[in-house]
Amino acid sequence: MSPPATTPALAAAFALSLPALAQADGPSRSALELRALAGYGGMVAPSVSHERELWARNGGAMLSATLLYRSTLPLSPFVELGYAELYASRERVDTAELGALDAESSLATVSFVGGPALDLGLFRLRGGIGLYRMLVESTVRGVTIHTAENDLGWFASVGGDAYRTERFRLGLELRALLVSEAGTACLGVGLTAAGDALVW
Amino acid sequence: MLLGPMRLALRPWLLVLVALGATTCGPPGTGSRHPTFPDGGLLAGAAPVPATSFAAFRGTWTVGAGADAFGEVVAAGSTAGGAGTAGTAGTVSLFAARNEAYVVLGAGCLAGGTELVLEGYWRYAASSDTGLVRLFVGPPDAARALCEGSAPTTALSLDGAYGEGSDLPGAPLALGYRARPKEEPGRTFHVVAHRGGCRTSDDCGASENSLEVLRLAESLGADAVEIDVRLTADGVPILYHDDDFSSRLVVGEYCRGPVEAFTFAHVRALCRLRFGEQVPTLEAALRTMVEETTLRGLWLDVKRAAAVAPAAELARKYMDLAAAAGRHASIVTGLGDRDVFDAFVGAGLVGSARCLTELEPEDVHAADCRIFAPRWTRGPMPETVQALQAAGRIVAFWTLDEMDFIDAFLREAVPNALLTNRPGLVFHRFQMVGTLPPPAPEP
Repeated sequence: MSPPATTPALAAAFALSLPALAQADGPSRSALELRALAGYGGMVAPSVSHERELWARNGGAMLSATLLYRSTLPLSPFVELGYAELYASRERVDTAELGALDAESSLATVSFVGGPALDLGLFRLRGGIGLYRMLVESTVRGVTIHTAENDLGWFASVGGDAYRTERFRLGLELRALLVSEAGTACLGVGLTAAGDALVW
Repeated sequence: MLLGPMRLALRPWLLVLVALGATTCGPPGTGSRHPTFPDGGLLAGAAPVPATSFAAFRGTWTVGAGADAFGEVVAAGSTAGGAGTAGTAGTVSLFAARNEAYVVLGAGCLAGGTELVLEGYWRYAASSDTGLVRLFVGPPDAARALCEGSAPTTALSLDGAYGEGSDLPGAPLALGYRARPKEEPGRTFHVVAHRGGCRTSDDCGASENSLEVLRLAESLGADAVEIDVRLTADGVPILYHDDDFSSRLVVGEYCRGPVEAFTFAHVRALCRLRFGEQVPTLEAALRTMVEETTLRGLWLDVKRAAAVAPAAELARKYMDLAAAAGRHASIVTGLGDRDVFDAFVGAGLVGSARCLTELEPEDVHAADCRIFAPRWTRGPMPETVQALQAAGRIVAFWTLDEMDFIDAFLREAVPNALLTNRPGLVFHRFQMVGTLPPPAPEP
């Protein structure tokens, strides 16, 4: 059976995880796990009007570092520091007072989230809540401003390990950032590398 | 072989995630718009009603049919439109306590001036319920007189129907004129609408602190409004309430963060108010108030000390322009905290700019303000109110939205004004239980 075209990332995640099938015995000890992700994400909400855009890029780099406490219990608590580029564009806006204005702007977010993770065989599901600092840089008429706001939001991910040793894992993760206070949502995919920093 | 079951297991998760994003984090709404009659209704082919005729509707009305929706007595206000209001059409508004309902109606003469029709919408302020209303003015000789611009000699009645949503009106609505409004020359009670007319969350048809809501304010029951003034990074006074631009009040993916960080060019390029309007400059708001409304008062709630001097200067300029146009418009600079108060005094504005203070009664005299505006949580303070009124000052409490509290303050304090998010309700309650305050100079 071949995967449908609409889920290539899921298919890739599964394919990458196949070699690990034989190696996965499941965790049996407590560990502090460090996990890093590098990937790409795009904004799915709010819907952006492209009417005034001269140029635009939806999404960009997505990075994160996660600290997770793994034990024999089914749920593992984690905290994560993340960064995601959400949108960038150059727009031309006609105004009554100032004439045509060109605005070159970008939106990114730095997040600090926490929650539980659930390991299901090769796959890990995570959900969490946390703080998102929405970062704006915008240049209009040669003046650049940097502004930010703090918002509460949600986090969810599903990931799988493609390669696993006793203390080191490589894999793929799909994630959703839901900054509910800011009305912003982002979906992303990235490669993960994880290791057990402490095992007991 | 494993891929099929795995795909089935994971796809619901992905769908749930995407659905969560779409439902909890979707783009800001554009707000509900009031329903309108197809093709403009009967007003589309009607002749205009003389501006002088709108005042005949002011007062209280007894509701016959339709009392279950609007209560047994409603209060009516009107705007004349025409000259001095940039040619806008006049309106008749009905205000009820039940469901905090209000009805905003345009007027037109039909059949060669022998019939007068009122058409528009009703709305419950406390919910999103709304619908269409069509009423005919009776008796026929009164309608004819109003269409001719003369005073009717018989008591007015209104007969017609209201509907739900955009359905054509079908439920009967009938009103009979009950009593003239509580109005006397020199003794005025002011209904001051919060944030220009209503808050964005009230969804009255326009965003708070917009030019559009200023134009609506009188039809919502206000004769004065409060607006919030902040400065951009390059010193342009604009209307905005919160410290930060956020999706609560604005749209624009880059419109986030402290207002003071944005230049005016950034505001124009990046920000729109929640229902799509521009963030107005204070100057545009003052021009709109003077040229397109008959509002009698404007309370500039200055949020930062640095904005006091430019706001007071613009207030003076537009009061002069209003006076030159032959109309009264009192524009007062609000001194809501000690920093703003000290900036007003330090800028040498005492005695030369009209002000309002929310601080203490002594501060009213210290800054020579005409208005004392305490928060309602301080209670009605009848002795303080009477002492200030005896000294020729005006007292306006903020912000009262609940009927029981509105009634209590109207009865116990007899204030000159109330600031409210429910101007129609305050209008109604004043007509029902209020007492005209002692004679006072215009604020």
